[in-house]
Amino acid sequence: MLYGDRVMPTKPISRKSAIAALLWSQFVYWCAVAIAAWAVACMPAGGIRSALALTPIGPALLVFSVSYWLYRACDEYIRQRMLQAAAVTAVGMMLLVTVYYYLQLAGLPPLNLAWISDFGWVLFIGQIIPILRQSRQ
Amino acid sequence: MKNRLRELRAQRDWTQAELATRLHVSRQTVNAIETGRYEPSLSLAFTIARLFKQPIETIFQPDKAPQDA
Repeated sequence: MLYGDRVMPTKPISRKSAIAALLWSQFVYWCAVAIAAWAVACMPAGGIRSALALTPIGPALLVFSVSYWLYRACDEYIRQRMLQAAAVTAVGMMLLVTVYYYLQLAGLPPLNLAWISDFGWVLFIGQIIPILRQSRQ
Repeated sequence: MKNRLRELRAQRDWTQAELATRLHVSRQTVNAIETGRYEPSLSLAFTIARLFKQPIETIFQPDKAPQDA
């Protein structure tokens, strides 16, 4: 079970549900990213294409909401570790952007922002799942 | 920061999981405090002190006393 703070009581949630919520929200997000990528690559310009290209915004908000919900559902030590994971992710993304900036100057093609976002999510979720798995009674 | 959490828990014959349940935290948190990997918040430290019915300073002691000005 994960335990939230007692100031704002949260119903204890099982470790299994926490990981499932995280993975499902990620699954929905990646599906939306695939739909958007397909629309941009294969559909003619128009309103439907633009709408499909914007599809990942909703699931991205869902992923943020699930992450925040998990954060609130955990005790202070797990929260600290989650914040550490977020900090490591931020540093990782910053390094990626900095290094690629110079690689781009050296002749590599411009990096799509989607790749940076995807790298960040993979790095973050890769750290969060072991934390949640360990947060058993 | 040193603490006597493991010793106090052992005196009562509680497992880490039992103590975690009483403190409304995860077992991982109890383990991290006992092994010195995590220093609890003031709020959790007071909860621990209340649970063991001891003053907070007898459970948690700083590694080095602050120097007098």
